[in-house]
Amino acid sequence: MSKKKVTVLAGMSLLVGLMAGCGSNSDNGPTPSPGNGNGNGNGEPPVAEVVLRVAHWTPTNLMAPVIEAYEEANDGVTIEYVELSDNGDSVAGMQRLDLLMASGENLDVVFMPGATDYSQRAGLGLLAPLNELMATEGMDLNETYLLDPSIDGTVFALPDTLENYFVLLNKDMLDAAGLEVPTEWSWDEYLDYAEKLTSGSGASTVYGTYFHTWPMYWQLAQINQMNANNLFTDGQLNVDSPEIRQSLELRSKAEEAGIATPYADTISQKLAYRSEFFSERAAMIVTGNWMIDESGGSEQFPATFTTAFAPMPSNDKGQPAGVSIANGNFAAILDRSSNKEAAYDFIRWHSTEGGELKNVYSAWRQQDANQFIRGVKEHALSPDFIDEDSLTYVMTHFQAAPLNVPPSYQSQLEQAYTTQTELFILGQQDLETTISKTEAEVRAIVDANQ
Amino acid sequence: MDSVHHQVERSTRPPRRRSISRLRLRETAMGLLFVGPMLLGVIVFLLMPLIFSFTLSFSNWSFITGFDRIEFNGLDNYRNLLQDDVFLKSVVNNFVMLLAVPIGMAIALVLAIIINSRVYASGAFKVIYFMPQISSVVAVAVVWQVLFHPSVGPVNAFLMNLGIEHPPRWLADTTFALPSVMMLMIWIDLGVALIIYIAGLKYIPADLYEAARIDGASTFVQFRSITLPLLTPTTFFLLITGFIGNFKSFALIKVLTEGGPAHSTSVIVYDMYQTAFVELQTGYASSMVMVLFLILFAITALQWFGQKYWVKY
Repeated sequence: MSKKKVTVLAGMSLLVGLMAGCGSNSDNGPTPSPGNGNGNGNGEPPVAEVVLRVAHWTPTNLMAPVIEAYEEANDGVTIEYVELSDNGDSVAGMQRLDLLMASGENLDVVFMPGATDYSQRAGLGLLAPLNELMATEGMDLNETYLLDPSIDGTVFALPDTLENYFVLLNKDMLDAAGLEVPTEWSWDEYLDYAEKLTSGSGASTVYGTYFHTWPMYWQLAQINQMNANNLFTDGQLNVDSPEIRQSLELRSKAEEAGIATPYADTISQKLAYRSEFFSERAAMIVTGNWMIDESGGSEQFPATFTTAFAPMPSNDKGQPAGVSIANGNFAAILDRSSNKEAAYDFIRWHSTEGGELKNVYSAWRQQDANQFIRGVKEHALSPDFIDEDSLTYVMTHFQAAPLNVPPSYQSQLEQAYTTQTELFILGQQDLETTISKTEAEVRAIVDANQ
Repeated sequence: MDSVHHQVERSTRPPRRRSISRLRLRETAMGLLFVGPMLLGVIVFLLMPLIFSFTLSFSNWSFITGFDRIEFNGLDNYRNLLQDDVFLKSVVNNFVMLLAVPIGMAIALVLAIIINSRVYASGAFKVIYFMPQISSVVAVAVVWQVLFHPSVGPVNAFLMNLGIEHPPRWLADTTFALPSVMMLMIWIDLGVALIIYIAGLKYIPADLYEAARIDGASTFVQFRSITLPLLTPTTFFLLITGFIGNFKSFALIKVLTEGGPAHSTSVIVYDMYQTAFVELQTGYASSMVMVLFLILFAITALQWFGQKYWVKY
């Protein structure tokens, strides 16, 4: 039996080796740690030596100060940082993480960039349940954090950042069109703005808005709801709903009126939302708060105009704007880690004080929004291009819907949905067909996974 | 030489069989020693992964979890494949895409004949047609992506100037995406087929043509009765390798369309990648690989047995 296992293992590691060989930089991870934190061997060392291996997609140079600060404050803890992506690309980072896990890499702490990634890996049984560690510490999740990432009562990760969604606007274009920065608005008004902001023709068209290819851009009138704000929530399908209908109509109206970047251009040219917005080819984008930092310009996309912020539009006049689903990065401990206590201390720190140090918007209830905004301005390359008034308004008038951890097969649901929406927006099928076909496919996936 | 010498020397001894078997043994051992490194490579890099993925195709498993989480589920994966619309669509797309191989070969043959006999500086043309093959697929794809830009690209700008109001949206069009990809494939693979056809043409003896000319055969008859039949081994080789390569095409689709829009350019290998590395269902993806293997095996076998009817050596 063991022989068989060895052959299988050898085969697997070869497969993985081959795949890793295909990746560009497979050898920049640190070498495996010698002896994983066994300071209890001989004698009595004053402090237990623990080596924690932490994986995140943030480039090493940006992560280094945070790690240094933690090591300084915690004697005996050494952090070995495993960089999952050298350019901060979280999608590539997750692929690399999967390869590392498959090759049996000793990791203790892993970060995940969203609830779908988190739920998928928790569903595979890779993550350690944290309930006991939380009980030992006496930490109440809901009093400490704004997000509750528990899946059927078990917590597999702590919320590391808080993401909510809002609208970025090119204020220079607003001013030129004589429009105010909106504070209360609905999707109809959003389309109105988009129409007024569209100008030019041919290759130099400036579109009023750009919708990216992510599934959430097909659910815009659904993710601004407090409840039932995903395709499948609480054992219930939400496909055949007024919210999904409105989301699809919103997209097709914008497409037909020519006030949003055509979908055909978006997919055939693989457009990216950052370049569309910062190169002034689109005046508004719906996005999340990882873009706050970048609105002051980044090396790749320097700011050349003032960026203003507006809350997430509501579905109808009279409903409050600024409601959006909350998402975020999640910090988890691997089930096979042998340093769970030390790892827990680290993610507790990273998701609270560490967030302040990095100046990310965390899910920690005690963080100070104003200090965060000041921090953004301090770090920004061109702070004057961030419209502080509207940013403050959006950050203080935001209502996060309770986190609905999606099922572990969420990526399949999204795939089924976006396939139908593509046919819809490209004019191959009407709204009702889209809804009924999505409903059938999503139901089949849900049934297959029960 | 040495072994022959041995054989002669010992042939007078009574236990003749034994000596031969010892000799055989030595030769076998020697032979094994020579093929050993290669055999080891084949076993480790081909055979074991093959067996491994065959085993996995009967399981429900994700490659990022440990082996203790492997669950065997019999033929469930294969049963699901039959009801998986995306997979079935990918299989159909794969077969449609096969058309690119004969079309590309026909173009290559015509070009080869022209370049071989009727063009000055034929070397330069060979290099030109080979260029896409040695360029990076990603770079090539990006250039075509811009050419085929649905609203402001040069191709559609030209079509619109001709008076076509709604030109196809090419890569972003569920009907035209697959033909666009096939066009690109033909263009990329043209160089290889061209070079091999030129080599095949050089191999045809010139006196055959001379005799045909004396008999008064026209150029077309010469082409039909001499060039085509004598090129059949080349055609056969290109057809087999072309079909296999075409079936396994992944890079181009990944960078150009990512299988979209709405799976209209999804192929088995792309669907498998998506299932294995995005949805993390290694077991299910393995069953797709097995189906791909069977299809490829069947096509190759069909061609192999069919060759005696049309390939003339």
